[in-house]
Amino acid sequence: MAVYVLRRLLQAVPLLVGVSLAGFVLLRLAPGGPMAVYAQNPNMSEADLRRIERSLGLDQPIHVQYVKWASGMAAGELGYSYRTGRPVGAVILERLPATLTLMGVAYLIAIVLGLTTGIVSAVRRHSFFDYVATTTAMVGLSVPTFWFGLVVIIVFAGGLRWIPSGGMATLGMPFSLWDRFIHLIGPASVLGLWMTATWSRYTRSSVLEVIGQDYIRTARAKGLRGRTILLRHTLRNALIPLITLGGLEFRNLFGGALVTETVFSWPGIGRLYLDSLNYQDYSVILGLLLVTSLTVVAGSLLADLLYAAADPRIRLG
Amino acid sequence: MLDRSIVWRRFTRNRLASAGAIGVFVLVALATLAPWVAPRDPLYIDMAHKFARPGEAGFVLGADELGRDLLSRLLHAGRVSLAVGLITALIAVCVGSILGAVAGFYGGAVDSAIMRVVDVLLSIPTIFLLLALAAFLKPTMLTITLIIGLNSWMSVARMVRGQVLSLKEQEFVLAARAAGAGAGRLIVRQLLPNAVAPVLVAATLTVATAILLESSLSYLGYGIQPPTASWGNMLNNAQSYVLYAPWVAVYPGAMISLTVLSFNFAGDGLRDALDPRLGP
Repeated sequence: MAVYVLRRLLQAVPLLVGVSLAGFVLLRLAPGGPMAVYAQNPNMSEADLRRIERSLGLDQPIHVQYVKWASGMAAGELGYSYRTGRPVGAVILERLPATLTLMGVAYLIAIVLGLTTGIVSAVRRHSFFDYVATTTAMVGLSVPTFWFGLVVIIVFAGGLRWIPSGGMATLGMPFSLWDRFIHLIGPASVLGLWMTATWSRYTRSSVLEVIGQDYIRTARAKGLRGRTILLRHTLRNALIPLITLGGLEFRNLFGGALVTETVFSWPGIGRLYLDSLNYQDYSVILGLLLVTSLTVVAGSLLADLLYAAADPRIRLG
Repeated sequence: MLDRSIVWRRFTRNRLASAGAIGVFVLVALATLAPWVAPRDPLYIDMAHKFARPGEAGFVLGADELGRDLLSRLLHAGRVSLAVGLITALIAVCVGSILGAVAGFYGGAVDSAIMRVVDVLLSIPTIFLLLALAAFLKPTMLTITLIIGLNSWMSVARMVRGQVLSLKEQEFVLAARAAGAGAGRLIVRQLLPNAVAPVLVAATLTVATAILLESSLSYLGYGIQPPTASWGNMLNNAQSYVLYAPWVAVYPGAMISLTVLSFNFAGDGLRDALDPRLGP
């Protein structure tokens, strides 16, 4: 197992180098590069610009810049925001809890609802429930998240006035858990229900795959109770492949969170990313690209390791 | 390869798939005929009828914040959204098939190089990457189509690579090779034609994802730029008036959902119809 863990960790290294290289190249594509924001300032003389360029190390050859920058990154040094001058790490950390709360609750909704509907759908295949559930899941995958969010706002914030139309807390109100909760309901359900569609589809097909296996027929032939077969034989095997999905979903989760945060004015990293794009704050943009990609890589790594731990059929060597 | 008539029978017998295919057909027809079907000029600003309700003053679906006719805008926006979606899928399928086939055929260093690029692109959250690219390049219809297309080929490449890996040792390929066929000929004439079924399914489903991606980008303000309407950018400022003029936000999103749903149903039905493991 230790060998497998080590090997899998090593496999992630070229991936991280690739991601950082992609981000670095991407930022060189930016109009005017990192200096654009200073060049627009009429109070800056040509000499000032050169001095800033030198202090940022931008006058050095591109490969030197990358190596310097990448080794800084590896040490956790993400640089400073061009806009505010604050450390990028601190700026991101400040917004991270809001996004993590949103993603965490949404993830929980998706797993609980998705697993339940997926299992029931598969066990009662071709039933009315299965038909409704699979069609709903397909609709869920086809509806754009931002529009779903807008409809939720129209109905539940506008018409019924059950939830606020955006934000994370009522302005000027002292901290209250209830107030936070009521603000979280909208965005978390939108993001969560969107992910539920994927989870229920995967669960359904995974359970169906196992139900068709010979060992399930054997268990049934032995005269075991349906419940025992479902819990001990079917689900134990069918749920393992879903660990992989759990890792893969991080990438979509970030994208979904960015859009949901915009619709509900949720002050997380998605909003931060869009604001940084507006202000051409390249260091924050790059920092967020790296932090989110790193999480995606870590997520799939974790999923692979959990998979190996859960499935004894995987022979390690 | 399955008999064409069997595939057709299976597909048409699947009600959701048929509905999807009919939906795609109707939507494409409406978009193509937009200039002749639309009751008004989609760009004509009529401030006197700003936020006209559906049915009011001859605006069938109402008017937006500048008094432009919503129905006409929806029809014209459909041309943009569908064109971007279809061309994007075409780019994704071409790039994905070629790179996947090359990776699977040559193996070794070529394979690992291509697959590492796939891994890297699949590690960066799509919307984040697309937004940065769209912000840095000038967002025109061409660049938006290109950047979405060049970020959507990875799953096709993985799939085609798998197909090629399983096909390339089969006898008909060995026979062609023995007859002196070169690599390019083997890939184009022997391997890719045998991967057509899954590629066709992937293409249909890629159109759906591409339309969703374009609409998200345009909604966020980094996609198709006004005054050209796309279903996504019609929702661009929806936040500010969604509570007192909800129809302006509801229709464009409904069109996106309907279109994406049609492509998804058609693609899913196509997959089942082309699956050789299922009975006729």
